[in-house]
Amino acid sequence: MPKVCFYFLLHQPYRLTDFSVLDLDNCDQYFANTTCDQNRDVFLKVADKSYRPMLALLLRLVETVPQFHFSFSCSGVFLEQAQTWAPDVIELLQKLAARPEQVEVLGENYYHSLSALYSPAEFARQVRLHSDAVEEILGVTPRIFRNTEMIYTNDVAAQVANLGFQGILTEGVDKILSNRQKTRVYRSNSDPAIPVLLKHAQLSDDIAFRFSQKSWVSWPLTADKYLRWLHDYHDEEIIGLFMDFETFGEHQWADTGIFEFFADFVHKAATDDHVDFVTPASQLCPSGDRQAWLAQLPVYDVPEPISWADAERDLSAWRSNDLQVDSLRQIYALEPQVLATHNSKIIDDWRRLQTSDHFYYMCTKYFSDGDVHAYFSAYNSPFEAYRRYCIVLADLTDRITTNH
Amino acid sequence: MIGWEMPPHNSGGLGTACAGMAQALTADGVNLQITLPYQADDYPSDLHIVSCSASSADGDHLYAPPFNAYTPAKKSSHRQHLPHPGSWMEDRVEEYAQKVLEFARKHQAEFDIVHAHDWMTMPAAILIKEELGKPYVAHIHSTEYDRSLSEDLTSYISQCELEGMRLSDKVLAVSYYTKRLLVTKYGIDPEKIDVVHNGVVKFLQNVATPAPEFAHHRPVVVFMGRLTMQKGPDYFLELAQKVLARRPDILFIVSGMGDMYQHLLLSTANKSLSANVLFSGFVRGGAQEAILKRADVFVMPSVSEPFGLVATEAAMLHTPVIASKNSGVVEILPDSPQFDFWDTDAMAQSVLQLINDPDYREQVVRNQFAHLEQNTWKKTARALEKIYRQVSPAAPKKKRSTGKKRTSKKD
Repeated sequence: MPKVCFYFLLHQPYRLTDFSVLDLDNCDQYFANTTCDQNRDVFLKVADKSYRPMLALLLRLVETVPQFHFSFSCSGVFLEQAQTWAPDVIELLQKLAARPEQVEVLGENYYHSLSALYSPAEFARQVRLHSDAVEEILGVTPRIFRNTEMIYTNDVAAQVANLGFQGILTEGVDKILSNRQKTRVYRSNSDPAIPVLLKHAQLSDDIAFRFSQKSWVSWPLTADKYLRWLHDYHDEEIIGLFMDFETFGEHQWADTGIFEFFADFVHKAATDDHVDFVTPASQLCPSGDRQAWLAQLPVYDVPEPISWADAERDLSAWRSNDLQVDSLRQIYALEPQVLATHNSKIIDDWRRLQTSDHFYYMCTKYFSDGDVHAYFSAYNSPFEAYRRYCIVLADLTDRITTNH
Repeated sequence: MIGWEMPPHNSGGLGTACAGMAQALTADGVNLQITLPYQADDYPSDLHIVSCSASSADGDHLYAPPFNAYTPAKKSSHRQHLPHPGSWMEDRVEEYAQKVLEFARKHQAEFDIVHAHDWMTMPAAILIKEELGKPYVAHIHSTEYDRSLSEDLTSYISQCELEGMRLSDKVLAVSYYTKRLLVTKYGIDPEKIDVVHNGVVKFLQNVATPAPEFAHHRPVVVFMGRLTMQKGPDYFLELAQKVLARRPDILFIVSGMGDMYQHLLLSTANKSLSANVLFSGFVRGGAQEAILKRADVFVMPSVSEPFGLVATEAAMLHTPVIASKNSGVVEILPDSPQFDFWDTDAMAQSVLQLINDPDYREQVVRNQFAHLEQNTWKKTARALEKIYRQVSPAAPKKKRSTGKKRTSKKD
């Protein structure tokens, strides 16, 4: 029977407030000011539209459908904001995490950053911070890892393996697979090696992006139709359906029927003899001789970074123009001075400024992916995102100097 | 006086200069009525302002000021002599000319002279002179040559400038730099041109809310102006790179907006200056004053700058000014460091000297202040009144007189 492996990402960045040059050295509130807190407003809006209804639905499904399994992860900055503004969302997450036989919580880096590419030491610290937060808040220890935006290279796999994780999720990129299936487990090309589970882009995006597109030939998508597509896969193939949690209720609004579709699909798949639900750990942590099992897996060799974003599935959403390249370079160049302050507020602000969304907002490739970028931007232009970021960067530099 | 913009609805130095001279002229007893192409409820209260807004006729179409007069003309659809308006802005200028003419007809017994500022007001001045025979002075604050840096003067805007000056009774230039340009690029007779420097703007709005202090920990170097080729902001970035190679702690602030904004951000990042060159966006009022006041050095690297009012504002706030030799303001700040706009090596040297040597800095500030104190708007107003009397002997020295004669049309 083909296996369906759902993974949902919950993340919200701390967007920058309109920090002006006149605020330099006068104010250390980069993410909100006294009159306006965009981050709270966005969080509460998305909580109503997506987090609350979808988490409640998932809870009802795991309670009533014993065959249903899925996985999720939350960035650390998501957990912080949920604790502050919507503690009931945390309660729902706790109830789900309390059923580890059906629900798996994955590890990631706390700040949803690109640190794996810039500073392995900082990446390790952010991963530890995240594991600690998940253990404390959700009461489970992640064994499988999913890096920011599925960003992956051989080197990232080595870092993740060295941190003790048992497996990693990433995008199944066609040019790397070159005609091989994306529905089986691979081995990373790294030392130490780690098993890799791939996203099935087409079937994931059918739900995440195309579900409500009336111009799509398969619209409207029904549970029966989707299930029929899964029947095309052979036994033992694993179909990685990885997507933003906000697909449900935010990217696809409730009135598109996305919630009904999902519930219907889970019920029908559970009673379908041809489909099984699985969690990542169940596929990446087999019993028996792990080294021998790993050695016989085919290799997924990724020398240059891949991700799950845009048509290119590369880093270009975060690092394709000079604005992004230099602001990334500058923020990571501060690492030794920031850590030397031993000032927890400075260190936390520096890490919040590493969140990948800041660089995503600076993206200027406004072609086929441009509309997606515009939808997800907190500012009216990539240039405004960069302008604000630079002023905050200068202010942070002064705070490091004065340790204030 | 045919105006185009007034603070707070101004997009540049023209509005500031017109307000300064109009207030000084009015205070000196000149009976001055000023037309503007829009309606607002926050005109300066000491001025007599008349709205000649095109919107008053249909009533449902209010244009919001300011109307940016600083975009160079488009390079298409030129005709032999007076081309048709080629843009929304140019259409507005034509409409405004008709409205001002209507106003002038109704009130023709009440004025002797027309004072027009820059190309946007020249069509109105020409119409009034042709129909009512009133003389006019063409006051040039900025030219199409400065804005486009092109020798091609066939556009509608250039033609407004040329015809406006040719048909005028007197041409006023804001600097000798501009006078030279009017002679060499526009072929105007130097005898017809008088130079009248702008006065110095006193910052008064800070009485209620003092300018906030910011960026306490390191030196600040400021550029303020439209982000367009004419103002040389790319030379400012080049300068920043050279200075930072020697003093990496200095902060550079670019204030303003314009067609080069995105290019400048990309260029800043490309030079890896993201944490040292900051962009404030367009600022006015208190924020503008706070930035000029905080600056340790103000740099104006303009490629072509008729006057450069913002440099005098910086100097009045005790900030040393480094100015381009291609600017009018060096004529009234003769002791401030001045360089060719492209000579960023020498400018970098000067920035570092001003920052590292407090005695030198103090001396520059003191000298600037001493020169500026002589350049009051009152002095400008007196020079203008003298010119009014030359142009129209009928113009009364002061106060309104009833038995005015119509001046005859000059050749």
